[in-house]
Amino acid sequence: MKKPVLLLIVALFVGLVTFSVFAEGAETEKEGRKIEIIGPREVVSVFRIVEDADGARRVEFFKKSHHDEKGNLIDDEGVVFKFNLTTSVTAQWVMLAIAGTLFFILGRNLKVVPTEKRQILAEWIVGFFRGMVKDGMGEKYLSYAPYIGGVFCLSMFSSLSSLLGMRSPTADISIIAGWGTMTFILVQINKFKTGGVIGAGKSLLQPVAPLLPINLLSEITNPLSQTFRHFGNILAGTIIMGVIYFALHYFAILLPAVLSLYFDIFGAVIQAYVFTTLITVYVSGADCSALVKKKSKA
Amino acid sequence: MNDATVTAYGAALAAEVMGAGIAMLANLGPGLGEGISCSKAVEAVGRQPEAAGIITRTLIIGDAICETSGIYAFIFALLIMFTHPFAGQIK
Repeated sequence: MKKPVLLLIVALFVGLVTFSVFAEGAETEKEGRKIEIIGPREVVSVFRIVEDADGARRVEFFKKSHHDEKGNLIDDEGVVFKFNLTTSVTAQWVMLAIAGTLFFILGRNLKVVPTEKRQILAEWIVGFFRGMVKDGMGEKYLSYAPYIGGVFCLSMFSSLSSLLGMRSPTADISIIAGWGTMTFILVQINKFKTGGVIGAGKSLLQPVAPLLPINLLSEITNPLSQTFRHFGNILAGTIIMGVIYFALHYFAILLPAVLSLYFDIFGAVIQAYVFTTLITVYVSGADCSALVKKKSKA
Repeated sequence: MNDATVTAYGAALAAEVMGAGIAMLANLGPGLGEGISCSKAVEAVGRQPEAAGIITRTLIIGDAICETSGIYAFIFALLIMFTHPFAGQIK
């Protein structure tokens, strides 16, 4: 009944996580749109990315104080969180607002017997995601359907925003890395939920104990490759379309429309589908309950 | 910048661009692999047309995963092209 609203909430949450975790980019610092959030003073460990005069960026972790470019000591005690408002984040907000409004309208005034096309569309969307989760993860993971739907719609809307002349937020690795981090967190949560500490620990020693470093590595590389796949595909499409527009110049009338069917629309939808499918695969693959059962029998 | 530095910068730049181009050769693998998987999928649909939906879905997911190495190569090429890891060190 309230699934579209849930979708909206999850989409907002994903956006916020994206925004808060990886929104640190130095590109808009030159333009002067800078926001600083000063938080409670007891949190002291912070990292930030600083751009040198040469244009090289570095990540700084600092505790209470740090040095600026000239080597002066700056007392940054109490600065918990610093980010710059990048183009991608702004575009992401716009797409969130559009997607949220759309799903809010779709989910209003639901009836037991649908009388409007709107409700049938909403039920089809919800059914699609529930079917996807049921096929990929099984019945007991059905509670993940709103999250999967939220990520799917956010990814698709963000990628398709290049049709409106915006730069796709998904062509920015920071945005996708935020979603990849969410996958990592979900996988870890599922591991501890299904297997407890013992199961999660044993899952790192599968199939044999000496493979521990490889397993630890694959914990990171799975979300990372997911991130790179989505980012690389969308960026490739964006670059190719940019090259086509640049090459055709004044004659960019019909051909770009045909080509963007593949590079923009097809790629965006396929990547959203692949990204969410991989979330289902990774999260349901992190089920450690079998490991714990084996131990209790023995 | 003296002449030697300019030459070194140019050489490093040329090497970077060539390296990016060579890195993109890695896309040969995913291209071949996707072609093979697609031909197999076509055969499968021909043999069992009623399973076309699930075959297509599996094909697309499999292709997307096959693409990973190509995407890595692409990102690597982009990194070389735009961050100038070697030419940037010559001052």
